[in-house]
Amino acid sequence: MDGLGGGDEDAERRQLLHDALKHNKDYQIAEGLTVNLFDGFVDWKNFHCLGQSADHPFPHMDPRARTTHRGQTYVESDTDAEMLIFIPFNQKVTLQSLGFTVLSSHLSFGPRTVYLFPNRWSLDFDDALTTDPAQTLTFTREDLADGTALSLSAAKFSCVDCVWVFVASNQGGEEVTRMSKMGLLGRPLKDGSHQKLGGIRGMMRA
Amino acid sequence: MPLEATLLCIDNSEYTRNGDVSPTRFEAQLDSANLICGAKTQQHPENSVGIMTMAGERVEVRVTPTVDLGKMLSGLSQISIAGTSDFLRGIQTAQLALKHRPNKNQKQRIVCFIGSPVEATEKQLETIGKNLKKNNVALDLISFGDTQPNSAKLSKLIATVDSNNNSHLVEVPSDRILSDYLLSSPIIEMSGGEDGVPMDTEGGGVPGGAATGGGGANEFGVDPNADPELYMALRISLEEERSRQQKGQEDAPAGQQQQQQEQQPAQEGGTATATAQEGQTQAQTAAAPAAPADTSADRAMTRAEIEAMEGVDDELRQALLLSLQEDAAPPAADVPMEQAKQEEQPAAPAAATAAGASASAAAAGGGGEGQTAAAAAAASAGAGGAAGAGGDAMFQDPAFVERMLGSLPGVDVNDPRIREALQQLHGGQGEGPSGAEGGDKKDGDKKDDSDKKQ
Repeated sequence: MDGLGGGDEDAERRQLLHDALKHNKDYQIAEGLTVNLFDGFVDWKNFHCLGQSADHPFPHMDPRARTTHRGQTYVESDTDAEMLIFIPFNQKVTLQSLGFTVLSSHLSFGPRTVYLFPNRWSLDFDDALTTDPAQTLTFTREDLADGTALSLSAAKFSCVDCVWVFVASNQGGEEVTRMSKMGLLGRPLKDGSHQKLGGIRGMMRA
Repeated sequence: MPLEATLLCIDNSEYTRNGDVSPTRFEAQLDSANLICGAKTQQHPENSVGIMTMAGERVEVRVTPTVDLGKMLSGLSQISIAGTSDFLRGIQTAQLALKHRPNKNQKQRIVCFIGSPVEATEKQLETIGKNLKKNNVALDLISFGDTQPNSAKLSKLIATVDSNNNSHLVEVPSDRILSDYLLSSPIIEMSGGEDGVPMDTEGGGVPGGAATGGGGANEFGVDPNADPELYMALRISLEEERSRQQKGQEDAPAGQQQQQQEQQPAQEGGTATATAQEGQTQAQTAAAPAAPADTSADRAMTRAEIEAMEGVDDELRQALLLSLQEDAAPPAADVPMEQAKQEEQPAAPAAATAAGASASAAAAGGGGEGQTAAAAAAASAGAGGAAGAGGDAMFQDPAFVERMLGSLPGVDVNDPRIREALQQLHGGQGEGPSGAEGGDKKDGDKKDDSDKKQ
């Protein structure tokens, strides 16, 4: 009993330490745990979304030019349910899961079918409908209410420098899609900084 | 200002042979296309422009989006007129060409000339409009020649495409030069639009456009996402300007006080000149040797100084010069009130600027010398000197002065102090010192008045 108790204590301490640090970005990176990639790994300058409405667009996230959208609680699509969100990263990352949170009153507007296209620099709605996605996610209302992130295929998203998220439909077949929070969990890859490869990568893209 | 890839769709159908737009629709169009190419490449060094034609054997991309102005111009010069134009296919091709632009950071824009009837149905136009809007392609339409038949369709199309006011329809009347008309249209002015910077930073009324929005401009006309450095720079400079203005406002009251105090010597000078005119030179030289130099230096300085004054805005400067000119007009005994009031104005700044100069002039020479120097100065200023004398003579008219004082708000002409001052003023023409004192007194009252006004 004593010996087991000692083992418990050790595990408990480790657990406590882990609990305390698990929201610390440095700890997560060091331990190889996931981080919210929106927190410092997204290249906001080139981030953009097609099909968003002018009244409820994605807010400017560049910290140098942060303009607050007072009272903005959600992002909305414009003329129909479809939205095409381009998320470039400032270094190579591994994507692990993607989740959305929607206001409880907007659950029927929440995204339902979501297609993901990693590592493509250009995509429009025609391409999105005709190209095979790397993965298709289907969200339920519960997922949206809790903000549960659905996990992504480890093989296809292990080394990603940009991803297109194509929201094709919403829960209640509504005219527009709305979302309040978006979580993209993953892990930055070591030594995958674009800064070091900037010149070569720029040439290859051109 | 936004980084853009533009595709110019030229209408080279047979309709454009029409000469209703001078010189012909086609020539006018090429001229404007030229202008747009120039404007777009000026707006941002990485802006690219492509050129395509909508008529002829088929819709054809003549120049793929490029930053090279030479390529654009040579592409334009090779276009010839043939067939009828296919608007729908033209727009679709343009969209496709834009989609494959090398620099994906560029926003997409189609600028389309329409000089022939649009045959597509409204339904088709709506579909293509929605598609453009969804893919965030801005569309500018330039309808010229016979604009009437296309008007309804095109404005509907623009209404469909437009998001965040990024698309425009310009209908050019046939009696106007096409390129001139475009120069002042939003199609060219998009970049120059930042001139009218609204001063409201905190308003947040403009939701700063979409992360992608073609016209994603905020209060500065700059999309913060597209160019955060510029946005920050603008914001900082605006804030600095504000704090500077605030500081200026705090200093201003003190400055005004000073000006009013400096008004006194000018008045003294005025009195003295008037006496000189009346031939009482002796009294003048005896009583106030510094006075004449003071006046004429003051008057001579005014004109030059007003023009050289840096801290003064243009409007004020013009007002000052204007009031000087009015001064120059021979003063009738019965001067209208308004003019009289304006006359008061120049005295203040003039005195302010002349204060230093007059002091040195007074120090340099005694009465006679001072006067000759002053005369020379007055001559150099043209009518300025005479004007000064005339204006000041007016103040010698007791009826006029009384009326003027009566017209000022908060002044009671029957006030014993004012009475006394007036009497001193008119009675003391012979004796300089008391005259000067009178001027002093009157000024003091005036100061009170203006304080009340504030």
